[in-house]
Amino acid sequence: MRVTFLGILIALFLGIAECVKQNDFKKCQQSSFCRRLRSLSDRKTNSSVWESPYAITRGLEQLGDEAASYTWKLNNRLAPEGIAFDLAVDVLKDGLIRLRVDESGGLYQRYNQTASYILVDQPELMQASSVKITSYDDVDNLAFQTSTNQPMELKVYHNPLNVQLKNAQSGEILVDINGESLLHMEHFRHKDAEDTDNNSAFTWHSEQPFEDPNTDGLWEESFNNKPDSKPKGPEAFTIDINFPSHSHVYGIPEHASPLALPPTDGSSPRRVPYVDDPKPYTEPYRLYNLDVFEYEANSPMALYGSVPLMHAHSPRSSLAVFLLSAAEMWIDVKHPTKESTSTQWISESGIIDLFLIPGPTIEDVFSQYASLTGVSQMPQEFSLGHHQCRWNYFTSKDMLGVVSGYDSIDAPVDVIWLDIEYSDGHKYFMWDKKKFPDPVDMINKIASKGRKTVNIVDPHLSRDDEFYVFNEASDKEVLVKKPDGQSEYEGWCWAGSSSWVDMFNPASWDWWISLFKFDKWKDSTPDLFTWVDMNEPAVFNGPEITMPKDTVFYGGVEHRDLHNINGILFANLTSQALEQRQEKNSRSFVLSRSFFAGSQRFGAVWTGDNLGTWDHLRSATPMNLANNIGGIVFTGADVGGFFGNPQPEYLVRWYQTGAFHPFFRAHAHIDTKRREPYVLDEPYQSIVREVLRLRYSLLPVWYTSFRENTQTGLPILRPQFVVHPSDAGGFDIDDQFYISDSGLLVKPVVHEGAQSVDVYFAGEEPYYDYFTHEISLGSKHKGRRKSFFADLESLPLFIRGGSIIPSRQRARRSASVMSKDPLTLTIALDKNGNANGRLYLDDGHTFDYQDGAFIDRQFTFKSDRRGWTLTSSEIVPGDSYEDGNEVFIERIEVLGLKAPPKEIKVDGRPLEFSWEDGTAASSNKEDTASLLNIKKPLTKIAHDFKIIA
Amino acid sequence: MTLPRLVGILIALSLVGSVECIKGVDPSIEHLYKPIDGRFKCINSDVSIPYSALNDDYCDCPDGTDEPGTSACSSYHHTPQFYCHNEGFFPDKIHLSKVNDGICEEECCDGTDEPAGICPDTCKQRGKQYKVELEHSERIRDKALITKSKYIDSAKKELNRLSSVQQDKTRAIIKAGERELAAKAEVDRLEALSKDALSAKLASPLYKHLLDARSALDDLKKENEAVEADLSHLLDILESLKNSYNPNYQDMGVLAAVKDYNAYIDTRKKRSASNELLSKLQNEDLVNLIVSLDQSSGDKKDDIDSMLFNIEAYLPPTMVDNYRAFKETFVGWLVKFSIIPEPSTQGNASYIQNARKEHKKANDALQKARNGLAKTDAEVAELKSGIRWGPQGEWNALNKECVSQNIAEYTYELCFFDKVTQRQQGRKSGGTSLGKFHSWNEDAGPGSEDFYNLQVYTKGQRCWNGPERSADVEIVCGEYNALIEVEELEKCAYKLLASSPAACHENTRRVHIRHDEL
Repeated sequence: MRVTFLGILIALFLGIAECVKQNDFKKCQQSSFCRRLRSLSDRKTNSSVWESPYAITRGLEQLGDEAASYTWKLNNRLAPEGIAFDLAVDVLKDGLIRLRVDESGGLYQRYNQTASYILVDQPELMQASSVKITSYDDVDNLAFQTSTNQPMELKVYHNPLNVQLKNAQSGEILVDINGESLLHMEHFRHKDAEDTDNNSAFTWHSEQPFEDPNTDGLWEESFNNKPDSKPKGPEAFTIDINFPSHSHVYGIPEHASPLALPPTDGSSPRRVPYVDDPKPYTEPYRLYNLDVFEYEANSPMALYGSVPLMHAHSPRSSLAVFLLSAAEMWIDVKHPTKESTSTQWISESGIIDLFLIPGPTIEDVFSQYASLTGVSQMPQEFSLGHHQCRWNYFTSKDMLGVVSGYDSIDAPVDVIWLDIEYSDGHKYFMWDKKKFPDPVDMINKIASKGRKTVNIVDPHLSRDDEFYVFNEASDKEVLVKKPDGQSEYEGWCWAGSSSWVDMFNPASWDWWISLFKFDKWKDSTPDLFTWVDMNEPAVFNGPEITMPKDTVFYGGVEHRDLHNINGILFANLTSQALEQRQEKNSRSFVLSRSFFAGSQRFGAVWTGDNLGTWDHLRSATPMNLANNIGGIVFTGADVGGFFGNPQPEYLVRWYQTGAFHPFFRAHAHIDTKRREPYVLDEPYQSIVREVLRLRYSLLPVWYTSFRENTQTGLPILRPQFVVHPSDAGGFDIDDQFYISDSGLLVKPVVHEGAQSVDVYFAGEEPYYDYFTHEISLGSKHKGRRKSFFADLESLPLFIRGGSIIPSRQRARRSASVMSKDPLTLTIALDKNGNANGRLYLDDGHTFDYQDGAFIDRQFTFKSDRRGWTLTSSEIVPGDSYEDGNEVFIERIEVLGLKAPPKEIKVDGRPLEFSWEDGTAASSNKEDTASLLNIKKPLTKIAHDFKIIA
Repeated sequence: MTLPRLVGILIALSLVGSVECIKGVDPSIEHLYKPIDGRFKCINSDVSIPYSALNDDYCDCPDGTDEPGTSACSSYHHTPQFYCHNEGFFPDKIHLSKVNDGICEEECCDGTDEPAGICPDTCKQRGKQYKVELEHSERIRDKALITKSKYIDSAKKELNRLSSVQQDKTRAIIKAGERELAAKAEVDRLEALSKDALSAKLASPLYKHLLDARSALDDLKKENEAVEADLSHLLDILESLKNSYNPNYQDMGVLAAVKDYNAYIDTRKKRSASNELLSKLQNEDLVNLIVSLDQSSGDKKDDIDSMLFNIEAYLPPTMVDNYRAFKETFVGWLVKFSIIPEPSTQGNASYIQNARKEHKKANDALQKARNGLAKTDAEVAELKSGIRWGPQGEWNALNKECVSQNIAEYTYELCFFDKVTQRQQGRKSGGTSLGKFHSWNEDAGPGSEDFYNLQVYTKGQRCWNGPERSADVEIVCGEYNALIEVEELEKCAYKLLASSPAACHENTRRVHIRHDEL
């Protein structure tokens, strides 16, 4: 009895502790549109005769003769007289389907501008002649082929409305829309007509009403005493999207949740590696960009960014759906059977703008999605190095001390960061001259050692008469307005009373760009780059720490309509500003906390204010993987954890993990102790230095990976299901990953006191331990788990057989001084004795590569009966670039050869080599691989070569 | 015969020459780079490589020791660093990672860290500049040493002064002892006379109730102290919140609390210390009091009453009610038991009372004198033993001496051996305590040079949501006592740099020079 009572007490206490943070943020029930539309599913369950009231009233019409663009008239037979909807379907060039629903002739126009800010271009339509249309009484069938010649069919059933995408070859139904009869778009209505509308017309003729009879919050609502006036009344929509033959769904970042999305109906999740104790989710996944203080490590709660892209995957096929809405969104996930998934998407406002991305291969999905929101920008090469941040380095001297701290322990770092305290009273752009008397001198001193400075520019402007940025914004009337649409909105943020720039106002664009010009911002240099934080936007005294939904943006648009793309506009404009501040074409580097689909075009993002706890270290991998498969490849997490004073073991594990995130930045809260590598004790300091050097040695891999992303849209961090799409055993694995196509496989160690770690090897190839060259064998049919010793110095890193890894093995202090350093090629043979690899290099900071100033090499190692050949050939002809002509190969290592060669020659010139006995890749044995080491082939990387043995 | 020998010598010479020329090698370990049978033996490994592979820009040795002059082995640990000869200046070393990286290292003024033609040789210039600086700092150090010797002199004088104080105090103790003995004898004598009478009085209900009242008073005082302590604790918390609240927590509640606190402080009434009065009442000699009742007339009660009423004026408002209840009961007892003074014992009691007072005075004086001597003894010991004040007592001159510096919006004040304070610029008093003197550098051996390079100040005002503030004060040799620099690298952990002549020694190289002096 006593134990039980104590148990209850503990449970209560924990409950309370957890709720402290959660109470600041809405649950679905507390967001009236989510409550109303999510409950459709409950009413359906309680009804015996539920049927969708939506039906086509006028059949397919083609818009024009040329393009594959079609419309239907749609109606909700329960809605009042005169309410009608348009359904539009575009077949896009690559075989994507764009499906739009809008109210026609409503009281207002639903917000429909999101696509114009997010898509790279107006999507190109397929020729109408390429789409074969077959119409029957109650169904229209559109047959077409994807870019990879897969035959597809889109079926539009009229009554009730039901849209299905089918793989015409396999007959598999890929996507089924409104199959659950939950589709609903709330029409605009007059407030005084509410009673008649709801009570008569919208009542289902049977035991369950269609719309929620609870009309609370239809016209105004409040949360934590913060009111939302909702001048346009209800305007939400919901749509059910089923994947009848796909067991796994992924994506819709940003959530601190497993990569394979657990169901949200309270049923038990599948076991995933990253959570020790998986708890069922009962809330839908929420997409609403928020500044969540000390967020939870396993939760469907909203975070800083939103990418409404969901992948559905099975061993047979891959596809994705993309619901392009900038309003608050909630997504339910269920598994009606083990092999199927159903989802319900609920959005507060705007049109339905849904893209079906047909696949059918995972590579197709990524390239098709990239045709919509684009690929990564080619980053500044320095930004792939190590970043050292802290809230805050307080003075110029402090900053220079960080640089010399790194130099003193001979560890590399490229960028030193300044958080908000560099500024004068949080008036960004304006340095606190008492602490930073000569910012340009400081930046130059840091730059003299090949390093960069980043400082923060937040979008809230201090309402201080002496702040020129605020004054200019106010004069130009480019500040967000109060609900009255006239006066400037004021809120509370770091700077105290603040106003926010309305980046939707075109008048703000040139002005914002001008702020970064050197003649305007005199305290900046080309070596200073920008961090855009708090751009969700974070408003300390606003509802859910953000801006009230009824504030007014350019053109009278409410904040509710565009909230989730507010942040990306800041990153976009700031990235443009950095590109345009110099006459010489120079790439930007911008880090943004808030993001949306397409943010990859404007720089890096990170996972925000994580905690210095082990579960947050664990969550960093699935979160970064989710961003990567959402197209946002330049991602990372605060190494060390933002909050707390972690133990050195924890820090070491963080560096080992963060070194394999594309964006690699250590950061810490103002209340924490200093924890830069140079203040660590031994052996931790040496371990961290080795990790940093490892990162720098692999910069050629990282840079090549970015180049590859810009060409294929494939992610840089690749979860198991992307690399082995037909190995179902890997679908739930989210604690190990591959780095692009390089062949590197990483398994971060993320448990306290861990001495061993399990690695999952899929496929038939041997995997080589990066450091010991020990071979582990994969398995063709079912992946194989193997335990590895992993003390604090060990970092489980493997090369998949068949890969060639280019690296730079000379320790340097920063990336920018490595551009002439020679390369090492590590060739890990597959079981047939072959391997391939790629290396892309350019000057790392200009756009000259677009004019051909790059080196892009394909390396091919081929074994035959007589011996082997290593060739280097151009993938795309390039003209090289200045430093590129000085880069040569200093060493070639071949792992897994059967026997040493008698001689090795390049262009008839014999090469010196050494040999260490070991196991051959072809032997099917797990032991240390043989190693052939070729000294100084001295072949110029820019030139073709052939090495023969 | 001659010829071959000469060739041999020439070869030997050229080998020696080539050893000397090995790029990047520190001459003190150049013997490790001698060829053995035409090969180079890797320093920390049994592997040997062709001598031609030394410094060939390829890392051959498993320990990375074969490339002392290139960056090829820069990723290896514990390899010797690149050595720059820096002719005309001091030789120096850099990590191999900084060789051939396109950046001219400050450490290598001869420019040998990069291929020829990239970095200029600035060693002569650096040497000249160094000489100028060295001379200057030596001048300053010598001036400072003069000041330091004055400090030492004044420590000696202080020691002399203290020993004469010791003598004076010893004499005073003897006198005070004599006086105490005499007074004690007088009390004993009188007490013997009136012992019986007194015991009767001490048995009276009034005395018992006085004892009760005393105990109630004790409780009241304790309670008052507790309330005062709580209040002051709460005010400290609020003050600390106000000074250091962290907007990161985005908490509107904290903003409101700080506002209300400011309003409270502005309107708060200054209260006298009621404890002093309570202490006075507490220390009243009850025996004397009851004896003195014998002498009292009607207005004696009024006196007590008025005194008791007056107390109210000193009490915090919250305590007045309690006190009033207590007072009424107390006065009630006095009335209820209406003790009639006994004329026969009146005079006797008065004598004893006076004698006791005299004895107490004499005893107090004796204790004071003894304590005073103990203190002086301790001071002498401290100054002589040389830990706190330095081997020659040179730091004694800085005791409680204050130096200050304006940095950003604050004035920082360091009072050596006392405290560190941070104030808004322009304010003369108050401010935030960054710590009280705790010790010299405890990580160094007591009395060592490092020991006197650092003073540790701890237990400053607690930070909001953080630790107590603390300050480490590094003290370097300088012409004057001065506070040079303040940094707060972590929240609430300050680093101060101060200078003092007391930190200078004959061999001091590092001398603080103000920039405008050069």
